[in-house]
Amino acid sequence: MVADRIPDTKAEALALLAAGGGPVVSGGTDLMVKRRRWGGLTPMIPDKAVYVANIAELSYVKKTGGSVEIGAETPLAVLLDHPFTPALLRAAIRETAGPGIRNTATLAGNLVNASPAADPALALHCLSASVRLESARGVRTVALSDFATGPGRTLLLPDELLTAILVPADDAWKTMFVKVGGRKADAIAKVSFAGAVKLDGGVLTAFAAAFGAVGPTILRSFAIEAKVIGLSPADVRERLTDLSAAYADVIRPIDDQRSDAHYRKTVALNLLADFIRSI
Amino acid sequence: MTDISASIVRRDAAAKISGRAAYVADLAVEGVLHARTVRSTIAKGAILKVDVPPLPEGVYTVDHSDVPGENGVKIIFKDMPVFAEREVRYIGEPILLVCGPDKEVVDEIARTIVVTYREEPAVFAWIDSKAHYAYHKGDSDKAFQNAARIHTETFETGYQEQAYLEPQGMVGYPEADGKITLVGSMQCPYYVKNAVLGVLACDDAGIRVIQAETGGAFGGKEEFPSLTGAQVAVAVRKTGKPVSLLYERTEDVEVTTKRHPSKITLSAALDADLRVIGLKATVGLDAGAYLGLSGVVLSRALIAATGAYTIPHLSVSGDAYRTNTVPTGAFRGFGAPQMFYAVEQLMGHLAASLGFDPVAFKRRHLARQNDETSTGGRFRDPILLPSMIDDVLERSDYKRKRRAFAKDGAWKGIGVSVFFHGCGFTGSGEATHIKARVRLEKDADGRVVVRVASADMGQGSSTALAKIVAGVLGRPADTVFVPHPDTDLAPDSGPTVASRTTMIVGGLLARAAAKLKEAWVDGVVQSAEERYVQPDFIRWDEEAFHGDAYPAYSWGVTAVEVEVDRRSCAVTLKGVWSSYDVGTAIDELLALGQADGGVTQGIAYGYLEKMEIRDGRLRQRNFTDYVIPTASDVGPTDTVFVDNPFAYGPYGAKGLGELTLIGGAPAVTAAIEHAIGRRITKIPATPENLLELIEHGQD
Repeated sequence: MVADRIPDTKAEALALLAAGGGPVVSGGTDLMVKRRRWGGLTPMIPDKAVYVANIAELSYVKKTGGSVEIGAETPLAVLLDHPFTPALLRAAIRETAGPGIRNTATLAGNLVNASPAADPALALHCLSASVRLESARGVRTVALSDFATGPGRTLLLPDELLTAILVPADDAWKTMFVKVGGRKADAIAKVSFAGAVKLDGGVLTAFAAAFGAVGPTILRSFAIEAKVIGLSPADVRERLTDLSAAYADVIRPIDDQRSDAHYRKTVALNLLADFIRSI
Repeated sequence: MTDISASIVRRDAAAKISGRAAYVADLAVEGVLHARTVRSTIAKGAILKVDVPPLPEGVYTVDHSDVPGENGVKIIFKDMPVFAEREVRYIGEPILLVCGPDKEVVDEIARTIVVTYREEPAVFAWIDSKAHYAYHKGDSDKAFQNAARIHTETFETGYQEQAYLEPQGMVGYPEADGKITLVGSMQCPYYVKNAVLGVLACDDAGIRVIQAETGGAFGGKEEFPSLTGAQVAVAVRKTGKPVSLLYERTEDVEVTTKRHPSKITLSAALDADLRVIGLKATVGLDAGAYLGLSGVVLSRALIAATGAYTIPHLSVSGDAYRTNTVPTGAFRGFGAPQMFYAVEQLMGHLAASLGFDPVAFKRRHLARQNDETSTGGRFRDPILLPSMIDDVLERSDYKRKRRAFAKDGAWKGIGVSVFFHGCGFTGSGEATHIKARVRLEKDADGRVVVRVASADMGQGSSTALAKIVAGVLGRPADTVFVPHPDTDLAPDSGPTVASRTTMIVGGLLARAAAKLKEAWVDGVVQSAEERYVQPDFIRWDEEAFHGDAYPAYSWGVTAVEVEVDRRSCAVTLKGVWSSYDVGTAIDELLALGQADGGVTQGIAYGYLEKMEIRDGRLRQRNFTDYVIPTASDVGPTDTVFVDNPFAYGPYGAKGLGELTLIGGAPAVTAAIEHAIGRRITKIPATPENLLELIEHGQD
């Protein structure tokens, strides 16, 4: 019975997963579409699936230490209006799907779905967020940059539940989010960009650039980012050509039914240039 | 604004807003069998074998061998089979239906049926012409020989999907007397009926067709429901049970008709005064695997070869090519959007190369009252284009923007299109093929029921027709009823197509209402009928493509302003200004709904809606990948209707439905060209194409 698979508490959910339950269904906005069948038939979701959207204790936003902690089952619509939501994440959620989907979709689903075109995931990547993975065996925290290993693939183990997202809370970030979709709402990104920079005493003390839909996973290059730390904005702008060339080497998009590789790469680099000019 | 234009509450508003309106998927039929279609997975080949697993009790397959009559769907010809028999010609071609009471079981069986093919090389190139037309006017050879200048360009347009609200659906059930009733989402109940009569080989009383509530059609439910209607009728005949065939969205996009891709080469000959005096046009359309309506679509495209301009010397020819792809068919505009896109672009490019403002150049060529049409007919009625253009330029602030945007490299642009639509069927179609009839039925309480075959599919025809009848009768509109058409109750007033419903059917109803009013006796049941009679002045020679192709013409001017993002080439609509001459707008709000919906669909055709086929398979099969505009994508619209009553239309009305789409693509393309300083010859002008043009294109 499906009813047996709708736990009210995290502990129940972990117990179901420990007993071989799964997959986990969060907001269901990706899974219901992927597994849909002929109209009138229920989607092909296994009987042992665990539906976690009802777990109240996983729906919250709080500040803890240096982080904003977001319960994995918090709907995107709640985050859109929450005062603690980081500005870059808010900007990404504003451009995610439409109101109906945002009412039920969650960050956990967005991250575990591991689409390189995901909007909230791109913002979280850029902000160096991490995820808390819990199981009956224990708890671990994984950096988002390590979490996704390919389209739809992550480090999440079958008995683990993504319970929280931890975003380093820092109001000093200056950020930019640009989604290039086929249209202005209800679109999947053809290419997207999130940038975040911190300045102190006239030099960059932090710099992050994340690219969406240009490879199998969301792309960040810590090696390239490290090159600009300590430079002044004017210095960075001067090195724009070199930086673009460095990113051009690692951005490897594909042709598909939504766009083509040349466009994606060109626009990704245009957005990077735009961000660097804005610093 | 005349009285008739003052808006009333739409007849369908309450049912639709409350959710009571019953679309085809809402029909609950006791004991219904759900049908699933097994389709070709290859683009061309012979069917060697169909392996069907043992069927449980009560589950059926229905294929070509179950067709009692002819295995061909009558559209114009019967070239498309109801079910593929020995060969398949496109990916998605229907081979058989699986029908059963339990969807789970039907779905499973449909998946396990194995069709074995001998695959043959598919043809995707445009080499197999199945319809060819040509016509000439004046002496184009001489015009080109003496030309001061000749300009030639080739334009390409892509597919467009109708994207109606609910996918195709048809439900059929047997009546006690052996009759089969079909209820479905459709535009043309009598098209369905006539197609099914031949397929079942039954007499006229054997089939009844009723239109279910229909949430948009745009031509997509013109001829396609004849196929599903025939399939369901055969299934009902075989099983003796009710059968429901409802498409999913992806299935619908993959296998239903869409707008013909085109390739149009235009050569213009200019005289020493830099006027276009000669035009040669070569038009190619991709008909897909079966010709269907493609020949008629082609003829409407060819007749529009001169755009809204008078060009004395013409040589026009075109072909509709058969390929191993999904059949193309009717779509709002019916060949005209492709042709107007090409002509408007040609005129804009000519203007640019000659140093004219594009609108000024177009003005030099505008068709005027009493001019000869492209086919040697006559524009008999006043043409108000000059003042309509003035109005659109003023409202859009065109002249200032045109200069300002060009100067500061703002990546902003504004463009204007000028266009017409021939109202009603091409040529003598109304008189020779359709022969429309209408009937009014009055009961003892003075309520009047309008019996027509015209389908309200969201465009508001039930409201417009009620207003016309009530207006002529001089009675309140709420005493006049326009039910969904039912072929057992309504005479054949023709299909709901070709912008003919208000003008032709509404015109017949106005005459019937005048008759009824004349004979009106309170408390008595009465009726009145009318049938179409062609006005004497319309003369059309089908063979020679000569004469009056249409009884009337509606005209339009549209300006579009865009901003192009210089990082992503994404286009944002900043404003849309239009002026339309539809004779008289029968209901101003309804007309605005048609106008704003139409221009949005036309603009999206120009810059947004991209559908490609690779190896016979569509790459964009749902609304995630096939991008139609959302409310966020539509710019503000500012729409004006000018009064120019047509003597033969009810209250002076002409055609409205298709006109408003036609100017969208050329106007938005001209605006984008203005913004990026590059020439566009292919739509949709997607950001990917614009990037390519910016990198390698021609100024």
